[in-house]
Amino acid sequence: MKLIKKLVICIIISPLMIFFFTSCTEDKRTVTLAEQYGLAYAPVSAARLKGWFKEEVPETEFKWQTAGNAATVRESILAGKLDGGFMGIPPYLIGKDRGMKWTAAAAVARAELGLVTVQPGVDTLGDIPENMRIALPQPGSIQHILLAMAADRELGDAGIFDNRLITLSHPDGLTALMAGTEVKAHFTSPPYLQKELMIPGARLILDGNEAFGGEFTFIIAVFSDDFIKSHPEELAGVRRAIQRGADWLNENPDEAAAFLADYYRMEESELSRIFHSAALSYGGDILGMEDFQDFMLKRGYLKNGLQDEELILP
Amino acid sequence: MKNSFSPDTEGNSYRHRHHRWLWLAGLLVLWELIRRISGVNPLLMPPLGDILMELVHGIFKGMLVRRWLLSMALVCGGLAAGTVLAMILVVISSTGRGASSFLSLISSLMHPLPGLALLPLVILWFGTGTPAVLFIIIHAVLWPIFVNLESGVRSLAPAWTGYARILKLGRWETFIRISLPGSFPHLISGIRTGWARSWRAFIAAEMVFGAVGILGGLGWQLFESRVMMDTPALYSALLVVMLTGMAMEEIILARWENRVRRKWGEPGDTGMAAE
Repeated sequence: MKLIKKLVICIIISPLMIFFFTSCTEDKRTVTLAEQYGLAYAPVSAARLKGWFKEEVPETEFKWQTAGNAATVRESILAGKLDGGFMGIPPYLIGKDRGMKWTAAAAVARAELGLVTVQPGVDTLGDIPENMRIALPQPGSIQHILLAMAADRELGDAGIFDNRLITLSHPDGLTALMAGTEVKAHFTSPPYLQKELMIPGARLILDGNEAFGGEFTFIIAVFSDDFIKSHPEELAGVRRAIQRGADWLNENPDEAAAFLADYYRMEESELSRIFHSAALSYGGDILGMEDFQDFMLKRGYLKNGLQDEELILP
Repeated sequence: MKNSFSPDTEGNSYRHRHHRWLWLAGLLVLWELIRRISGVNPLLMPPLGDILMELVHGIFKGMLVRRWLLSMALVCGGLAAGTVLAMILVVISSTGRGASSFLSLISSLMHPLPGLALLPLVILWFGTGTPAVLFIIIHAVLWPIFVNLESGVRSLAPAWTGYARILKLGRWETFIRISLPGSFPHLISGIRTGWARSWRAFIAAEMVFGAVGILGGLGWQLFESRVMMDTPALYSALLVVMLTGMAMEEIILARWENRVRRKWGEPGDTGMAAE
């Protein structure tokens, strides 16, 4: 009798669980996007705060979620809870390689990235001692791959620093470097890069462009293939809004600094200085996809190569 | 008539263990059924075969065993250090009302505080390496053991402390020779709670801090699998975390606690009936 009861419970629960795991789509006059916090995402934040997404696609409701990192965006898109998000090229390629059905559709920002150290006597990658720890956001991040590219070129071993990495968010990395912990180097991006270079004794030992061997896009917009196929108008509107935000930031750095200073909890003058500098530029074409893929394939971070047209939406 | 609340006799316990294995097998079958019937994306629910293959690969060719050993060494080290610290605090607490009320206040403040909430301060104080994670583990362990041990010492029959006075034992000697043996069941209960808290705290700390040392433990394995989107490896690491927690809790600590209770009596007993 008890066994029959248990079987009945299992029969009732099974369809519910199937429903739970498959109920991933909702009625799409709603677009759900994930925003991350940082100056590289400024075109998205500016366009959202200015209401340009609504202006570009008036009959659509926009829902915004805050994501901590690319892995969260990837998981939410996989679970069908997000239509799109923003991230660096390497995490996008890792997802695509593992079977994620998503495609890059817009460049959000190019940025000056760099490896900062406070360790005396370390001026190149070759000087980094074996016991020195390097902080960066996470394995597979753009910072990790850039470090591997530079290590490959300069030291002949892409993975030489893989066992010396420590995963810290940008603010925690800054704290660790300032506190004089065992973290003596941090691969970071604006505005943390500028803040760290102001620490006494801190210096840049590797520049992102130098590591990559040219210019590359730091943050791209990625959308699920379901959304791309079923909502071309909404997608076009979202892309226009992002480009509008990027153009506004590039053309009006002072106005943008005044508008976004509170949002970023930064001094307007400091923000304006960063917007005026070459540290950040917004929008444009997606640069560097092929080179990142070639390197990641060669060094085993990816298994399958894809053509550019499969990776970037025309 | 026996029901599910009937006393835990040996027969009941045997049946109980067998039921658990059956439930586990049922869950695995259910997993595979749902996966096949629903056609859910394998990145969400990978086939059981892939997870087991990943587990076997991790054990024999990967770093799973080394990472497991590092995790166990750190958690057990933290547990031992936390236990010793708790004993020292109990001795200090027994020196007078002032010390007792001060430590009671500190433990009331610290006990509910998750170690991860201290993370930004821990980075400032200890950096991000092994000392930082050990601090998080010790914080997780110290307060439940202290609270349990102190309550055990307080519940000792006055006759026991009377013996200490007759024998003119010092404070530390009284604790080691009388209070500690008398409150052993309480200590074991504290260690059980401490283990569960420290295991969770360690895994969470590594997922936030990153690898401990060059190698990293199971928390790092989980984090790495997640960011590299290796779902079968993620599930296999989760399986190891769950099975280790369960084995430690139910096979080692629960048996130890049962044996101690049989020998020393239940927590709250005066201990006079022991042996």
